Amino acid sequence: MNSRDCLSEQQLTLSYYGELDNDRGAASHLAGCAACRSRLARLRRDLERLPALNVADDPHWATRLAARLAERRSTRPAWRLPAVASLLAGLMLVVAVNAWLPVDSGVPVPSERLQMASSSQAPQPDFELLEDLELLEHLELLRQIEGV
Amino acid sequence: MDADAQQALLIDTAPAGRYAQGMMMTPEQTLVQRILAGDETGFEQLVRQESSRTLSLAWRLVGNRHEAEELVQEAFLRLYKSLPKFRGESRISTWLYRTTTRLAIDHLRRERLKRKLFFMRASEDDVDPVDLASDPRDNPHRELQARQTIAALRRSLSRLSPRQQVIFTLRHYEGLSLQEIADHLDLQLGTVKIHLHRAVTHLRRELADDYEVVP
Repeated sequence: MNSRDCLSEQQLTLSYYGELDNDRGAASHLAGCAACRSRLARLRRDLERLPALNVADDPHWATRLAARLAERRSTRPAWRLPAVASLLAGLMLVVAVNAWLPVDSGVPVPSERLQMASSSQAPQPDFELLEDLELLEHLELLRQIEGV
Repeated sequence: MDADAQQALLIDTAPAGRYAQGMMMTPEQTLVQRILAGDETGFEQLVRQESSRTLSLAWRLVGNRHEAEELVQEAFLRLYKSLPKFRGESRISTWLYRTTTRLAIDHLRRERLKRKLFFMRASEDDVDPVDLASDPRDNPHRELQARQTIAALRRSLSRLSPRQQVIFTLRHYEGLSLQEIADHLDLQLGTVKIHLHRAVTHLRRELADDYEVVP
């Protein structure tokens, strides 16, 4: 059965892909351990059963791509105009809404209520979204999703 | 001789004198100089030379022909813009490979985000088995079975993180070494090893039922 020296699952994966590199201890253990060789054989069987992923050859693909690229190269800046326009429109809308909403009604608010509001009602930034700045670049794409 | 070989021969034997101006240039640098000098056929030649391999990579990474074509198109556009800065330190094919891989990761991340935002889930509709290269020896039953196996693999892959999907595909299907993958993705080798192992463990667990069905 497994001894302390038996290969970890990760070492087995690396061994299958020929990526054990300088791990001579693992390689020599494998040579002498029937249990590890058996585990490696099962891994090999599973991975070799994965289907091949070969894309069908399309003899016209290169021609189509060359034509599309020529078209895109000549018209590419055009997409930026609507994108910038929608961004500006969005910004103006935000500014307008902020200007329209009453900021201070003049009624004094108890300080504990202010604290509650700041802790529980204030919108929390979605850091996961903020970290993905790619989103901003693909705003248009997200807007085009069906049903939005 | 196939079209790619003819193109390669054209590049290798293209008269370099006008562009190389007496310097020793690789055929690739000569081709780049031609493109930068305004020779439109030069870029088309480059596209014909690299498009098939790049599409194959993109399709394996994202699993959908249409999306793969869009990624390849974007990669070539970026290449065109970057050519003036090309100094021949790496091969254009390597540059394209790396750019396509990174675009694929971004694409997979966006798709995952869309699914999260709109409560969509990866279904068989997302899999694009139509463009699989079919083996003429296969009978319809075996072909159907192969498509189902691929659909199961795609579904299982889509449940991995985009980075794990890409690392597994590059190692298992594209045959890149883990060091090459680390270089392409600007990751530590140890990180790539961990991602590969997690991907393999996930796929074995998820596809275990299929293994029992498929003799």
